[in-house]
Amino acid sequence: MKILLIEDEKELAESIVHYLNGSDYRCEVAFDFNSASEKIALYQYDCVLLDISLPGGNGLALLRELKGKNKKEGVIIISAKNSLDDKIEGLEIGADDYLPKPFHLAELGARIKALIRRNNFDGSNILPIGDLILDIENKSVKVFDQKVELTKSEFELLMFLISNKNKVISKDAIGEHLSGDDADRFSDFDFICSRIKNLKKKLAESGSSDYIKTVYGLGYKFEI
Amino acid sequence: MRLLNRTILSYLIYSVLVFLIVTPIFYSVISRIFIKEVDETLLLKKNEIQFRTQRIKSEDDLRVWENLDEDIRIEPLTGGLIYDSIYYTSRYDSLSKEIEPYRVLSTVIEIENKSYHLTIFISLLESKDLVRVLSITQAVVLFVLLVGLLFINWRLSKTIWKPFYHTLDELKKFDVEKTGQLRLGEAKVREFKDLNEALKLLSERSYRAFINQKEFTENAAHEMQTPLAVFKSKLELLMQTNPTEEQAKLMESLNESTSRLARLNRALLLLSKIDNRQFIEAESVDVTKLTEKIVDQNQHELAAKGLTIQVDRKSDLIVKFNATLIEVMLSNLISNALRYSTEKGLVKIEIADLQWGISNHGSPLSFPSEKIFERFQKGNTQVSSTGLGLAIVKKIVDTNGSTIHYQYKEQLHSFHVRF
Repeated sequence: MKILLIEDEKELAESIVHYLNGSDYRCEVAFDFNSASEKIALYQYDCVLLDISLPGGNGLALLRELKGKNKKEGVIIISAKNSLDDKIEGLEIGADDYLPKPFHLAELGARIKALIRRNNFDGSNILPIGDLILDIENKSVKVFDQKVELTKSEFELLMFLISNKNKVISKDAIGEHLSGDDADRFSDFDFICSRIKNLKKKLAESGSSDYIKTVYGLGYKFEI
Repeated sequence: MRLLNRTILSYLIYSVLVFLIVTPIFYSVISRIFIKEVDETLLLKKNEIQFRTQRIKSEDDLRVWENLDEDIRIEPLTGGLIYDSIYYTSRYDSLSKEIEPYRVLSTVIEIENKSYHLTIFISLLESKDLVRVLSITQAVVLFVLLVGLLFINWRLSKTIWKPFYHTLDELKKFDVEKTGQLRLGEAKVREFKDLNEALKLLSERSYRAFINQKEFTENAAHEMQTPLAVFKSKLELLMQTNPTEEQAKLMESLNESTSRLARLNRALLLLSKIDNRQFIEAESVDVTKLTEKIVDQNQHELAAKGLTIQVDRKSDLIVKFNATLIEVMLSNLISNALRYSTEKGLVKIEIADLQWGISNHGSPLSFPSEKIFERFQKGNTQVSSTGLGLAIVKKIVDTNGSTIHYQYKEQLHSFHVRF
């Protein structure tokens, strides 16, 4: 899977590339408007991560370029501007998602996964992983052909972990993913502990291997 | 007391005083002058009589003359010496049949080398009338003058102060957040012109300061986002490096702080956006549905703290509001109630006609209750709070023109929004 990251902040770009390259992706970076425009014209990507404010031009113009060429790339806008107008305009032009900075890399990982999945598996929403078979459409999980009864939020939690498999994900990232990122949410993420415990218990009862590891008090990891 | 009334009152008091003091003084002065005049006439008359009596040859002539002139009495001098004296007396007037006041000169004259006692009378009746008429005329003139002055002053004050009252009205309406700069009319009077100029300058300055502060908050929050994003991402990469337990603990606390910083930043941005009126479009919002949605989103937290939420719906509530803002507002109020509720407590939401209320049991505030909507005012036990949630709520409520009230009674914190 090829990803193009258009981001002028070098340090952040480096982090994102580092994080994503560890997964199933190959990530390229464009630091400014012109090189991004060139890359878009020359190559085909599965997903484009687009910053709005760029040296040499506005990211929304690049988005128009992409959509004008009728390319199939999924686009996620990652913007520090966090302005509603940008979000609305971006989504209107044809961006698939909008992620305001600062974000958790795990959240970005999950969004990319979801986007690529939507674009590539036309209609097929079945995701096999280890002993598990996930039906994304119906939000259900089967282990050895046996349905595991998960609540909606347990399923989302599992999806989030799987989207960032083999990565340590902090409780904060999970918490924000599950309860949204409103300005001043009641964000005591202690509930995640018990949620994970329940999930592990249900999966263990169904006979699945134990994929979810706890990393000290720091976070969790779906290891496979 | 209005300025206008105040000046008029002073004028009025002064006028009445002048009127009361001047009228009797005027009366007595005029009387005095008149009496002096009468006295001079008496003396003159005496000289005249002295001169005329040279023509009198006999005692009979004298009697005839005396009988013709009622105002003169000439009697042979009997008894001791008589000095010249002028005094008042009253005499019965046979014509008007009334006792009338007179001024009398009593003196001695020589006729044919014989001394006579001469008494000359001048009636004061006419003079009294004259003085009265004069005094009344004077009083009327004075009165008309004073009333006129007062009226002119009142009219003048009204027109003169008009620009001042206009300015005052504008000042009362002035709100740097809403109306921006002060709009004042043209004043012709120099003092008011100066006042308006000074006020305009002041409003401009406060407007600039307000804009600067607004821009600063927004810019600062914007600028902080990129380094925050970098920090957050590096920390997440660091987490992937198989940390030891000790390192993991450090990372965890770093993580918490970063998340808090990010939340704080988002809250500040939201505040400045509301200030910048970026959320103005209002639409019909079903508050009941929205409340239920937010409660549903908070299920994790509810379960973790063992709380129960009870939504008491007395009637449907559909309001005109910006959809984003009302969601943030209700979400913040609910989060706040959950955060400060006692463990395993009951959080009650009440939805009634144009009213939305929430209450939770909890310990009393550690600060005065009127400060509850101020920025960074938070209960000391909660470190994870940004301290901006209720400030945002207040701002949203104000933007919409609704009101919110807080009260603490019998260990129950409650907020009531009136749309």
